[in-house]
Amino acid sequence: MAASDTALRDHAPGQRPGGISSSLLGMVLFIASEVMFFGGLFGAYFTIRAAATTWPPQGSPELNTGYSAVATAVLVTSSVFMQLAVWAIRRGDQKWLARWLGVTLLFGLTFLAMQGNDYYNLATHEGFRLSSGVYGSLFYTLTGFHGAHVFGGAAFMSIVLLRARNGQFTARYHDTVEMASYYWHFVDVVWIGLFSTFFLLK
Amino acid sequence: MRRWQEEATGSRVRGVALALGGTLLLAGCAGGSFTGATEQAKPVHHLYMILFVVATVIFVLVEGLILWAALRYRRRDDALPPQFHGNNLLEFGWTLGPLIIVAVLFALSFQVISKVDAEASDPAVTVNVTGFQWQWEFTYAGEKVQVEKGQPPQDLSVKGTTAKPPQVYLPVGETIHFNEQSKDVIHSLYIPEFLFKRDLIPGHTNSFQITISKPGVYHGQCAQFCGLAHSQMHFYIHAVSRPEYDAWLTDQKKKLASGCPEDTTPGQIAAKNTAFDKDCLAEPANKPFTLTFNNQDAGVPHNVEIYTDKTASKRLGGATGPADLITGPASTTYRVPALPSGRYYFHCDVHPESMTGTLVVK
Amino acid sequence: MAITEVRPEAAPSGSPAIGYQRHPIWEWLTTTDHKKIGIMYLVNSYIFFAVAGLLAMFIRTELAEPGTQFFSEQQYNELFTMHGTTMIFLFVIPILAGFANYIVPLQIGALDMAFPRVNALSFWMLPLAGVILYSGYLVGGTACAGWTEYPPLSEQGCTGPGVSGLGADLWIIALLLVGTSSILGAVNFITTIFNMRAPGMTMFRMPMFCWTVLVTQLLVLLATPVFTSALVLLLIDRNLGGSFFEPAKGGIAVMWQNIFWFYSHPAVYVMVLPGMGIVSEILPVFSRKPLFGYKAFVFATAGIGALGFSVWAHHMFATGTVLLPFFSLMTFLIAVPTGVKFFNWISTMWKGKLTFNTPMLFAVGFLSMFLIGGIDGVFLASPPVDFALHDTYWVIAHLHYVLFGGSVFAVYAGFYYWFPKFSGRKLGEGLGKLHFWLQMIGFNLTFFPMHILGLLGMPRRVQDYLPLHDWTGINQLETVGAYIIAVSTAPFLANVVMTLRRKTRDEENPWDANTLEWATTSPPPPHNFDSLPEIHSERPLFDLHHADELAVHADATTTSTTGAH
Repeated sequence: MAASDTALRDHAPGQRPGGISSSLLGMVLFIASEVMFFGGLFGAYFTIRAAATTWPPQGSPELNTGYSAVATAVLVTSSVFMQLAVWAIRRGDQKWLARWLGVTLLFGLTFLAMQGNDYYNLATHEGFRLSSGVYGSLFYTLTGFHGAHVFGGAAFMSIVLLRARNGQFTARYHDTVEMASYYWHFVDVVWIGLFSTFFLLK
Repeated sequence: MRRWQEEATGSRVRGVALALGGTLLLAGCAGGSFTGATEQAKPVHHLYMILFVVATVIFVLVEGLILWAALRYRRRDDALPPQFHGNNLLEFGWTLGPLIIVAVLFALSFQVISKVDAEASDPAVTVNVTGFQWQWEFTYAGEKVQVEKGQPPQDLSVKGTTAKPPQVYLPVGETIHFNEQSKDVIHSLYIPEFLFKRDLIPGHTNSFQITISKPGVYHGQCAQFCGLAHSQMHFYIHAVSRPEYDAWLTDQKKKLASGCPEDTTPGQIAAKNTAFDKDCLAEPANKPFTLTFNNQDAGVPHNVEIYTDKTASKRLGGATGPADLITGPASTTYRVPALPSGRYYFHCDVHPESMTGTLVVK
Repeated sequence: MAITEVRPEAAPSGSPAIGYQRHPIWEWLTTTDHKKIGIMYLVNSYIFFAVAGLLAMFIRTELAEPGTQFFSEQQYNELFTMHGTTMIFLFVIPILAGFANYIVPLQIGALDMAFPRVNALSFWMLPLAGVILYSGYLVGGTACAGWTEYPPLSEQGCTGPGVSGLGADLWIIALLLVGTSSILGAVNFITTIFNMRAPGMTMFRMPMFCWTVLVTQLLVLLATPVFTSALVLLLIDRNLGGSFFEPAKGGIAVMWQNIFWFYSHPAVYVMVLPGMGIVSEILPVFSRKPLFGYKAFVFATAGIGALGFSVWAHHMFATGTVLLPFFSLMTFLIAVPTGVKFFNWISTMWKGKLTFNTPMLFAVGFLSMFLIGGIDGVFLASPPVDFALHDTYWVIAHLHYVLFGGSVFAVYAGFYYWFPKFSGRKLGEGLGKLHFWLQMIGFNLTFFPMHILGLLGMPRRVQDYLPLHDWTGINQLETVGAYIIAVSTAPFLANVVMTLRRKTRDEENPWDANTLEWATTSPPPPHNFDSLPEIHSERPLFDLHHADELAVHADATTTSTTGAH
């Protein structure tokens, strides 16, 4: 019993020797559930697309692939910055943790602004809304929920940034930063899926 | 344990098993009352009986084991029983056994699916069923009827109301193809004695074929919840010999061509429960006629006024106006002047939304 | 190797002797203690059980005679919709989560769940969801298209096109809340089980209840979000001009059914697997033998969970839009692991030394009743037979045999079994047996004849039926049965009240049970354990207390690798 006792003592509560910490496991599980949520939405998209004779349906606007490609680049880059932030705190660099987090947040908000702008253009110039038939419903619902998740991720990241600037994370204890990075990468991957589906595959 | 105790336990178990088994058998007999009135239903019923036998055997076996264990192994002392943890051979056995059973049942089901879903290329009759809240319309494809002059002939259609559900006649022993469509929500065409149902889904056409094997009157109703009057969506299928079916077709076509198939008592109309007893009056052209109106609603005033059309702007006959009412129970006779041939409109001035109808003059 | 005796000292009343005392109401409102949260889950769920049961009484009273007597058509449609929705989402799923909440940390020797504050949040979302669901009655009507709410009907309201009140939207919002509560709970349970087991408790030494909770929560985690997506799509169609399910605007009506059942089929395993776990705890204790085939149980449970994701379209055979052979095969296959469990349960009892205290009565009752429910489900696995039986009373018989005869019996079994752990007192045996037999009789009288009604062609969700084929007589019998079920809850409730008011307490392990929750006081202190016994098998307490007798039997046991040593 003695050996396992010491091994247990050496870890923060909620950690087993050789296992994943509870916070990280919790975030991984939560992301799994979010994957299934988007899975349901993607399932709806592909079901309707498979049953349609022409896709996108007649009268659907031409989506601005170039513009969205730029937005994609913005989001992907933000993930790179997020990972740089994680690497920084793993080596104990609190200063660069905060900086890289800040840049990630900036890029994330830029992505949201670009999405909002895209929505505005589509709605006012093309009259393309949620109520514009099933294509409109799918486009706005899928990208809209993604945007909501980016927003949630940005909110989470703001809190993490504030805590980082307060010096609350060290090389040893920064699970929350890892959690935020998992979530942010997830949000990025979902967007790559959405972009490929709506803009590339069509 | 004494022998008499063992025997008592044993007979108790047997008694319980018999009682349960007997109930089940009875249930099976009562349940088997629908043996299937179509060619497609026969293999379904056969499959059901196989499933029932397998189910009963498994139930008696497993329930028997449960009850036996419960009764036989009651605690009689405080010593620990042998602490068995498991037995791989048994696990293998009772995994493989049920696996084989379900594989066989699946294979049998698969065979029967092919029979039920088979569609011949040359059905004798094709019926297009439309479901809507909360009635059915059965249209006989290819059976043309001239309903109105100047309009193309339409397929013969059988409709109904809650009080008088549609009576659908079909020939026995011939392949009947059904196409299903829905106008609004999901409904389901269910005929219990055919051991069959198929949903009607808006935006999608389902089809199936049956061959009715026994003459008779078969009740059907909607089996997919569709709103307020879901439980009132009934219909009846009359399976008759081919000559009877042909005769019925001819008769229906005549009635529809007359423009007023439901007017079996010309010159009369009644009101009850704030509804007319018919929604169509048939009268000869260019001859004045009388219309006897019987108001059976005690204490409720009604009338019958005839107009050129639904706008009710130009009066043609019947009551002289909204003040010309009779309060039930009472009768009156209206004299209506000669009318040229055509379709006209009548309603009750007190209840112009719910008490309306067509006057067909030929 | 010394075996540690467990004799934790506790304050006489069982309440914490440490820390500052808080006002009891504030304590319960803000607690993050899994035991208190567990109790709240149980109480909240039972209240909704009673409410939904009352709705069932209304339904059965209406159905005693053909024609409409007591309720308008709209009211009746709301009745069966609310009955199903409440039973599934506000009773069965949460009450099993409540047992898991209280018992799992104790059984694995942990001091609480992994995320105690999230645990509290998960609970409080439930009464809120219930209030939102029932507020439909205040705004002109609740949801009314059945607990399955198929569009296009659920998009337009039951009284006709264009007349839809708030009821269905409130239904959607309530279920979004329940879903979120469940998903957060799943994250919590899975993390707890993986990360917080006591030293020595390997995965294959966990109590079977914990295994069933683990598989259940994996199902919850992966299936519930799909339901969330369906609900969201329906909400958008109803309120924001979406057209996912409207054929006229490019949508597909049947798509709802696919997304809905992708969740709702695994959901039925969520509703029964923890119950099977409870039965797997009780049978060994009251047979004084280990659970037969522990590893087989684990694999069977995992198999049911996995297969459960592949059968959803068997609810849609009659739509004419699904691949019949695939879904039929997978549905037939799921009978196999269930059968394995049955034979293992029976083998647990076999050659044991059984006593029939109330928990054991309910556990054996579960076996008998779930057997019937499982068997009549096999009929539905065959598409051609399903064409005849789908949407008839046969299905209602099946679902009630597995959910009432199965889950509810298991819930009562767990309640009688663990009541002494919650309160320090066993429930009275006399009233317990009365409850059991009344419920057995009432339940079978209500639901067995429904098989016959289904065979005779009576569809479900009808308020009015034609006086055909002896339907009336059978319906009347069922209504009598329903009243007996209602009456059977009286001895149960009286038992609970009387027992709680009793001054005398029972010992802390009154059943001589095997698992760690019994290795502490009844009720446990806030930190759960003062010390833990050594863990070398799935029955640590049994090993501790019966070491000598086990040595005698060492030669008598069948050698196999399915034992957990």
